[in-house]
Amino acid sequence: MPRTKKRVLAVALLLATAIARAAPVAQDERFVLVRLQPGQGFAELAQEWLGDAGSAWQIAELNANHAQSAGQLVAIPRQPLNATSVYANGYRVLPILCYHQFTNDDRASHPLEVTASAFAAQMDYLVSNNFQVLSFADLEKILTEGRPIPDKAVVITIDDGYRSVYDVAWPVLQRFNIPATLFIYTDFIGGSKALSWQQMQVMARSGLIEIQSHGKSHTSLSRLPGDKTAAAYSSRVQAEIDGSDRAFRKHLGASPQYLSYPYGNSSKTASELYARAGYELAATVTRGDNTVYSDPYLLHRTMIYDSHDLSNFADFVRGFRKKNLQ
Amino acid sequence: MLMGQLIRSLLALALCALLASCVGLPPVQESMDEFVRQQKTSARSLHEGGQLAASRSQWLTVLTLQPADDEAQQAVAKLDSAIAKRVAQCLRSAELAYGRGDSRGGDTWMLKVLAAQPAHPVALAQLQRSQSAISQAQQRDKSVAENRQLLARVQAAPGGVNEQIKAYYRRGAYAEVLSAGGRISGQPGPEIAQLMRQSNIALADGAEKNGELLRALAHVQAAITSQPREQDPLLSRSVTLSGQLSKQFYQEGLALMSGDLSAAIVALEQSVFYNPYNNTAKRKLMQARKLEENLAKIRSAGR
Repeated sequence: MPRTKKRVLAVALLLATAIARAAPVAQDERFVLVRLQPGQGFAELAQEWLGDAGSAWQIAELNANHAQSAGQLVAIPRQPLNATSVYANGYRVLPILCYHQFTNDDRASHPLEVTASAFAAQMDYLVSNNFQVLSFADLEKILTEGRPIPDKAVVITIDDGYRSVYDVAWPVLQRFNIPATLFIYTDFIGGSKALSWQQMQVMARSGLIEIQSHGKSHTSLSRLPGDKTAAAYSSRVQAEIDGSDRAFRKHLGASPQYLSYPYGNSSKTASELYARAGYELAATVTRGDNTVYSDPYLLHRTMIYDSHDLSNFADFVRGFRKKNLQ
Repeated sequence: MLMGQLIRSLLALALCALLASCVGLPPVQESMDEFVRQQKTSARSLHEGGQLAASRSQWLTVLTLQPADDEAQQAVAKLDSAIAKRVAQCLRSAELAYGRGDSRGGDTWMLKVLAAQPAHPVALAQLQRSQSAISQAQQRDKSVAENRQLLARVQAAPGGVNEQIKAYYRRGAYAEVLSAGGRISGQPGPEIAQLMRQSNIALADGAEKNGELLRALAHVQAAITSQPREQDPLLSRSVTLSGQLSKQFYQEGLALMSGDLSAAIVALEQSVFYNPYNNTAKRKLMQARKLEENLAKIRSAGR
């Protein structure tokens, strides 16, 4: 390439960079101060400087002026200011919702089945109210990397692996561009009411759906009266881990990292065995608050039933617990 | 040729965008002054509202822009000192709360530490431990309840209870043996009665080892009644445990005499209850009651 062309290209690149990222007005080890450019808001700054538009709330929290007008000086934190999400007036929690089955009919045939219209209304509520829907991978970063719980955040999970996930829930999730984590028990897959491996591959490829483990046979992972010795119990749990892992590797090409306990039942032994097998997080179905200091192997989830209306749903996804901590 | 034209067009576009972005923006100095004014106002208000950590962050943004700003430097120093004092106070209160067994209270104090100093490692680690313990207890309760339901289903089957009790005993689940045995209608047969006796003895051994004398005595007595025998060696163990309990309550009564007379009397009564031949405890109990009477007389005379 001739020298002149090279020079022109270099100048163009420099200018393009200058436009894309305005030079900081000031900076130190804690903050970067920049001027908002026309058409920019906190979300664009968060994307540029923090690599995640969803972190705009961290910029809003630090700046007294929320007008987001061009020319305004804005401070951007280099590190999260409040990684534990505890404030003088309360603390943030991260609701994890748990669904099972869906139907296109007007009415659900049993409590664990949610109609397409109810599910769409719930997803619409999240989008309309600017909720961030996180994946389990995001949740892992919060619990292990000292990241704060975002303002208005929620995690969506679906247990078992029913075919209705593909037929009913998946189109709704695509329409709203909402990610979800699907926990399957591998013995069920391919059955008449279950998803196929191919359907799961399609969903996983979209990047919206994470597929993770719900065990192999859906047996309870707490110690049962039939587990005559501690060793017999451990070996039953280990068989669940190994069986599920084999199927995941064969059909999806990777081992699962996250677990939802069948029936929500666990024990210290089960948690330890799953941790040893490389699992990073595990969830129960016990309702409760997830905070940054929650036990990563005993996360709480809220079951969504057909009987829940939108006002119940709004309560479930409330992400801040008021408490005077002054 | 075509490449050159394309590059020139891109360059022109980029220049236009750059110029457009600069048009209409307020002068930099004006933006800086406005930023400092707003951050300081907000930081003062957050400080007054007790939001120390948030106030500190906002003062620090002023220092990023103007490192020599006196007011911001002083405010940060003042906040650092206030936060350190607050954290120390909350940690002390948390320790006291945990010490008296009030874990919920202790956790609240630890949350207050985090509110003042986000990511304080001691507070965070303690809250992680507390949360984990709470979640594990919830799981245990859930499992126990579900296993109980399972047991009820087994019991509904003819002859199921006895087999279940034997299974529990074989795997050393002694509390479950007693729980299942308690649901047998009428007297259990000799084989089951023997298993219940042995389970009670095992649980008494464990309790005694942990210093839980009351629980140990209860299991020994339950073992005696579950399968009565002539010249049962457990009788002598029961007497020994009662004597130990009597001594324990006597010591407790003595310690309470100077501070809480009513509680001392209750403890001494327990001492005599567990060993009616403990004459030292009897005498001390009489003294305590007399003292209480006299104090009551003094109080009524003073009115």
